[in-house]
Amino acid sequence: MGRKSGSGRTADPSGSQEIADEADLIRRCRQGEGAAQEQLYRRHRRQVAANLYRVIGQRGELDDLVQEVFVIAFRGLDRFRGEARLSTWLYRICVNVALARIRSKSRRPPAVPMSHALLETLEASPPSPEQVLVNNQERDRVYRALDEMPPKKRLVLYLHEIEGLDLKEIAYIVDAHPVTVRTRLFYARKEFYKKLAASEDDGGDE
Amino acid sequence: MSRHVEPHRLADVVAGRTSEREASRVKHHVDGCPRCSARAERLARARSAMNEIAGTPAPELGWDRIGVRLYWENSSARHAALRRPEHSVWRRRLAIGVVGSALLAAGGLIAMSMLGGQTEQADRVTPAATAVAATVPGERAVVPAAMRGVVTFASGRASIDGAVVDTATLFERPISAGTRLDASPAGRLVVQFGHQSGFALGPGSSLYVRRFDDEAVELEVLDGTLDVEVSKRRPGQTFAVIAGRHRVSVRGTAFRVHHRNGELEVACAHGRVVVTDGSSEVALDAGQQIHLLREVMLARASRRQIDPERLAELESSLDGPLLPAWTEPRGLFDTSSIVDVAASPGQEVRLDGIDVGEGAFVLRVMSGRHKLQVADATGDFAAGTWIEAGPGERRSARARGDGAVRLGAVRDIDDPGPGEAGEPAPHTSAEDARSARKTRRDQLGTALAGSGPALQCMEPLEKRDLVAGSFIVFDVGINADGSQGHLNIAESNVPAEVERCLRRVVDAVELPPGPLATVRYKLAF
Repeated sequence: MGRKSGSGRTADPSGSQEIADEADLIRRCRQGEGAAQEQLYRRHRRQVAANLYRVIGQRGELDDLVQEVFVIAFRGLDRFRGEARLSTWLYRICVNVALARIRSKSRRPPAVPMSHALLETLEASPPSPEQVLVNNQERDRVYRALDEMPPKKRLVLYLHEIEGLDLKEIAYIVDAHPVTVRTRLFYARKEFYKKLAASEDDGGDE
Repeated sequence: MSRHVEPHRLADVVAGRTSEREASRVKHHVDGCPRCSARAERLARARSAMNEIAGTPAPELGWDRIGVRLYWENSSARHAALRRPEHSVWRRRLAIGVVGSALLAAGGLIAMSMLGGQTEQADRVTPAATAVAATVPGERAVVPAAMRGVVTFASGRASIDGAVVDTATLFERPISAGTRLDASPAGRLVVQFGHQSGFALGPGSSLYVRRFDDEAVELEVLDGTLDVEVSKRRPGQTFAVIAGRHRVSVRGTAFRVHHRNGELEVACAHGRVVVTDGSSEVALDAGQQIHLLREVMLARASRRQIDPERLAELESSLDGPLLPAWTEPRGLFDTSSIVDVAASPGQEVRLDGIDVGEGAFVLRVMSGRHKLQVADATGDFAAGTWIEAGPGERRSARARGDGAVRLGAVRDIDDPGPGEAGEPAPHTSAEDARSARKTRRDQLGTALAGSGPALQCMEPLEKRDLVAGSFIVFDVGINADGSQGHLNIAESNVPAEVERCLRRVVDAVELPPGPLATVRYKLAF
């Protein structure tokens, strides 16, 4: 029958079995079943790590942050309302954990930038060293501009400009009204691209 | 004002997010402006880097090490929770004694029943078990697994096997083969039996569940209307609705069978159904219907198109009451909640933006937070109220004519709850309600401002430098005498022990007598 949209009571018909499996897994996790929790961890750990890695741009404390996300998730599963997919809900937790991490970052010693860590893993990859270097410089430039932004603006900008999420999705993830997100995004974009342009202008207009 | 193109507009052009006209205008400027041209080139490189970032995979981490730490943290929390009710040695001994006695008594009963040869269980066998008993001795039968349905919506009085049942019984009892269901003249009953699969028994209708297992589902419409939605059948499973001498076999997904006083009407919304009477058959595709008058043979029936309005009504008939996820009934009972809605006859109600019914009804929902909206006299939906229902809980909501909703206290599903008499009336207008919420929110804010106990709750996070940015959102129901009717955690990003601690702090807040209100209150750090 008519499929519903934009509601907590909706489901993707193509993934019905997956949703049922997920509901069963959540139920077993809520009952404290260790095997179910391990299964959930195994199923989502890479995605959680990737989300955190991309938002923060550094892998220094990634182990701890991944653990933090799953601890919050397991303890909060009772409040998981099923209005979004579990992966979306986990994404939301990732963003909140990342936000807390970004806010407290200024009080910590600088960690290894993403691109440097990436260099290690890309040593044997096909692109030429020059190309890798250029790519990493560009990534560093993007993250430097992000690092200079206030955390909330940084997050909405990241979610919109890099992850490509729409306002409604961002509003759900950052727990804000879409209008608030739109306003925040407007100023964040101005600031972000101005920073990108300014750093280049300062650094060397040929 | 600068003549140059602003960087964020330039970025839009680089990303292809502007109209052709705008892009052409910007490109025209960029072509003649070295500064903007250089910026555009850099922004293009940055865009490329941003696209790469979006596709960056997870780095390899010490997955097992994280898993072990996670297991340890969860186990510690679980063990701590288990240790919390500290029983004395005497209480433990007493408990052991009680359990021991119970085991002895149970053993005795089992022995007696075995000696007696007949047990009560014989009367309680499932339909699947009955099938085993009915097979020829010595023949190994493959018994189809029994299916179970769950009531997800009820309005009016409903009967099971001829007896009127209360809401708690109706919602707590799995529906299986051999069950007869009756909806009262103004009632409606929805039973879900799978993901996006269920049937709705119309007003004054009766149904007998003939078969309900992995091999076959046979629903017999004794009288009235049955809407069916089947999103997916099991491999090899047949699905049929029997109405008098006619059989409606499902080849598709959604249809309605109306059978009363010998007349039959079948309408197919999705997929395909085949109606047979033993000697002839008529296939109906989506959007088609037949209407057979009493004593008219099926062979003489002609198919007609369903008018668009009725088709739309048919298509959405089961949208609201079906749960978005499905698991076996026991699991659903453990993870779902019941919402008891009291609205005026004809007053429409929406849950999470979906029309779920009108008037008074009871609805099963996934546990959690839902938005309840009720139409006012003009048919417009008010802003609505958030309703939070935990697993196994029952919430009630009373609607006024102006669309305002007042929530009742949280109860267990099997708790009939207090009577309606004596309950204070909800606010007379939306303005009053807003004012009441503001008053109560301000009072809560004053009581919790710089709260020492609340800060103490954050100590576990302070050690990990995670206080900044932490928050917790409560839904607090405040009674007229200042006491708290309910206190739910709506959202937070803090661990469970911090949540529990903060909840205790808010719970301990004493407010003066004042307006009745349910407020959403955020404690941010």
